[in-house]
Amino acid sequence: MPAEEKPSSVVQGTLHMLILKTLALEPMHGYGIGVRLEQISKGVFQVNAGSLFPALRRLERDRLITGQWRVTENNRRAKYYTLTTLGRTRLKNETRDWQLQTTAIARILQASLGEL
Amino acid sequence: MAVSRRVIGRLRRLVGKARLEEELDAELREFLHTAVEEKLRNGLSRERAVRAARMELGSIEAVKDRVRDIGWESVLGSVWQDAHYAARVLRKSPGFAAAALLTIALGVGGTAAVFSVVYGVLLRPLPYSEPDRLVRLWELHPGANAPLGGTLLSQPTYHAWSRASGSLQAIGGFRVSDYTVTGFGAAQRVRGTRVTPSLFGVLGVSPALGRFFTDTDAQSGSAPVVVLAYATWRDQFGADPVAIGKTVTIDNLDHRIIGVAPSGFAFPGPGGWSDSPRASTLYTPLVLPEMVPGANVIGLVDAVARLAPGATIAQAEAEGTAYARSVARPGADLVFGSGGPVAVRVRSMANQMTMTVRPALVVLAAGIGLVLLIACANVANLFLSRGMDRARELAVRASLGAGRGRLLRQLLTEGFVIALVGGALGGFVGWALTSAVAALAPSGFPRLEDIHVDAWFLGAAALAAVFVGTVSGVLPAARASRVDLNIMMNAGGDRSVGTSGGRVRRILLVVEAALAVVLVIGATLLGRSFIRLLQVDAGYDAAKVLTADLYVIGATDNGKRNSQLAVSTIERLRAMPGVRVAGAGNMVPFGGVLSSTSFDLPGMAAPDGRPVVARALRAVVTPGYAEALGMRLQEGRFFRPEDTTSAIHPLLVNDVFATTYFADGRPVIGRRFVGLFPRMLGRTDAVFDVVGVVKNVLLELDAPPQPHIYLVHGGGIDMGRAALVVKTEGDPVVVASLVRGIVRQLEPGAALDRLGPLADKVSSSVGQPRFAAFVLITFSSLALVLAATGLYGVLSYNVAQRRREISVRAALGATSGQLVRMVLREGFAVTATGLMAGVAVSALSMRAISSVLFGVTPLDTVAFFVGPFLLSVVAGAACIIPARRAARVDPATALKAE
Repeated sequence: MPAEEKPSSVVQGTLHMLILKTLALEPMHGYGIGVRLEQISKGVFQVNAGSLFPALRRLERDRLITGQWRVTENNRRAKYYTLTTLGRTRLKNETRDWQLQTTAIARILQASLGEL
Repeated sequence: MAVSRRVIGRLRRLVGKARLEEELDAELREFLHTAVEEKLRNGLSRERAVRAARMELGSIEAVKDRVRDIGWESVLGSVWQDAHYAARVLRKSPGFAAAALLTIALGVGGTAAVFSVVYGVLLRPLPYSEPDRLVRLWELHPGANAPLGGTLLSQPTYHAWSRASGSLQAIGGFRVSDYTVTGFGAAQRVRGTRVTPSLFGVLGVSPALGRFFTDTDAQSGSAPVVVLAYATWRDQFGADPVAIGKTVTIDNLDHRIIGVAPSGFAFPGPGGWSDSPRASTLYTPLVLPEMVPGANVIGLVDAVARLAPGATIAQAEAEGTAYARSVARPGADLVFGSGGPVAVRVRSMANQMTMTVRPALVVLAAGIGLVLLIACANVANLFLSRGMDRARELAVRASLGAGRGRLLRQLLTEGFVIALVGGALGGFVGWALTSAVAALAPSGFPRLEDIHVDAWFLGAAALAAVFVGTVSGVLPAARASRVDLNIMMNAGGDRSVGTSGGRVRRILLVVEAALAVVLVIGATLLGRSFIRLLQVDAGYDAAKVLTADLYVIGATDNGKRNSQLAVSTIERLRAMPGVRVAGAGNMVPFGGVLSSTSFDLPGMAAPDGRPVVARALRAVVTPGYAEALGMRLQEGRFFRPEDTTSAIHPLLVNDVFATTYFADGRPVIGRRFVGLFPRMLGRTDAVFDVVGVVKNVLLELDAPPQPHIYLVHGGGIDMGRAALVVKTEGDPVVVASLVRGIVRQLEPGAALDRLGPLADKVSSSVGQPRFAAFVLITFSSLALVLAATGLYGVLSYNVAQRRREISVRAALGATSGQLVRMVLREGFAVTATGLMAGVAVSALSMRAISSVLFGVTPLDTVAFFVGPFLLSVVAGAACIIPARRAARVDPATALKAE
């Protein structure tokens, strides 16, 4: 992952993972991804277009997702992104890493002197 | 696989940038639309929904920008953007752009042209197969002063070596000769080469048609055969294969045509080792008979060989030397001089061929190298000055978030854009220059036909452009990108920033001035050599003189017939209008033939009592020869018509002969020698009287005068070969056709060769020095202009930059004279340093070109005065305008403007 990514209102470095997860559920267009992230996180994460589109472009460049123009339910054309096999593997790895890290961080934060 | 697919994908994306951009637009539009719909569904009015969605999305352009920045393909994109920007910037400052482009175009064009020439002549492989294994072989006696000079192998060595050799794969001999051909229309003299049957094999060429010689062809007594050069076949037979088997009359013998050499093949090739620029038009077999036992004269041959695979030059030399020492070489000292035991030299053929022009070309290459360096310094300087001007712009960009790398990249891109455009212009300049060089080069310049514009030329131009781009871009870019934001932004209008850059610019100027001085000194040396060469008192007057060589064929005693024909021709010519004097002789200036002889001077004794042996050029001439050539008498008289039948042979000697052999103080005129030249006359009682002393006549301009005697034709003395000398009333070219008509009338089978004005021959003999001088003078003028431009640019810039300081000084009472002096002092400091450096470098390096100098030393005072002087004048002129501008600064406006 290039070092210059700085998703603003999401925890650093997690935006890609979150997008991958969203797309793992079903193929979706840009606006939908934003809305879905907001929905699932119950409004905690708000992703603006300035972060979302660069992230999508990057994921697409790295062949983790592919875009395809499709007709939407209200008969308009939108670019739907789908997870690739590569993306699926990446999501699995990142999810595992993330869980390991959060567990560790949680332990550290909950630690008290007595337990050491 | 995956990697290449990715790369291709990216490139396709880069190419399909427009499509990508469209897609992004559509995607963002869709995003906005959906957002608005959503808001409408949530009950907002359309207007508010749109506004809210817009706010959520933020600036569409900003989003696009960030998306565009993804991936390395955007680097290329931004380079493209930089290039666009650079082009726009350059269009906005046409003065700067023009100066930079012109400088680069001249530098690159010159370099590319010189490279084409140097490559064509020195580096391009010879047109023979595997040319790097081809060598020339010759013998020498180390330490001896070889009377014949040259690079000859003795025939005994040749035979011994060609019978068995480990280091040579094959060895061949040749002899350049002139033939009279009567097969094609009027009799004409042509240049050809006699070659051993092995020679074509050594060179590795196959016939275009027919066959080459076999050993049988080269046996004495076999039927005469000839191989035609391709051009001869094309011109005389229209490239018709039917030529094979036909006969051509060469030197009055019918030769059967057995083959045609391939197109583009010429051996030895024009200018290669021979005195004449003419290429060989035909080849005949060279017979090299084994030496008869007891013979006292050694046979000689020009030899070439192909080294065996893996053999070295040193091995071949050792082997050849062993062979040369193992054979009898009677009379070798006469040819090779007396010195150490015989040794054989083996040298690469390409080197041998270009030896004569190598120094001139090296000078040329060094010259253009200096010009290119000056051009780089100049462009770098222009960029530096601009860098200072643009410091604020860069600071603004930096403060808006442009990284240092980004700024550096932009500046470098600008440098490259200039270099590329300049390079393209330079390509045209170079192409024109290359054609000019090929047109201007002196005749006899080897491998002229190999000079042309091709991929190598374009490569040289491209490399030169990249070189200029890098050198002139890097330095200013590195400097300009190191901007200190605080200083820059705070400094505001006070443009005193970047004075440290002044030092770099001054150093560049010093370098430019020094290089220019070196070039001017070099050019002055060559120019003076050339003038010296023209001013040489050759002892004759070439104006309105026509010369021609005359050849009679078909007689057993050609020498006598030549003499008779020449005498009858000049008798007829004398009666013609437009002819002032006509004469003939066996030696004329630039006739290419020198006949030197040693003879006893009867009646004279050296201090040790032995007879004095004189060594001199011996010319046999008709009365009128000296007058036609415009020779000058020191004392005595020229030959008279009655001398040809007089019982006493009159003798003319030249200055050098008189001072060398008649230095005893007794009068020279009237000295009598009995029994001179017994072998030539066949009697020992011939009486010779010295009747006159003439000024030295130089048969070649750059050779020192030699002892020279003149005998009059007649009374048993023949000219042998004859050259006509005709002094005309008007244009000698007009008389040329007259001469041709008379000769054809007198002797239809006779051939006239090199018929033309003597002045033309003089002029083409100085072609090479003229060429070198011309080229270097052009280069040094270019260098001076560039150096002056550089100085002018920097000083003008400094004055502009220091307007405020200058106006303060003016306001405080500095007179305009003081201000002018202030600016001039700065310019002169730079110039003087450059001058001294240039003089020092020249003093150390000019020795390298001493081989192309004539009559001047490498440390010639005049040149070392002219170089610095010219630069001072040019530098002064370049300084005066900025200095006057400084003096005209109006304190009130300047201070107010700040």
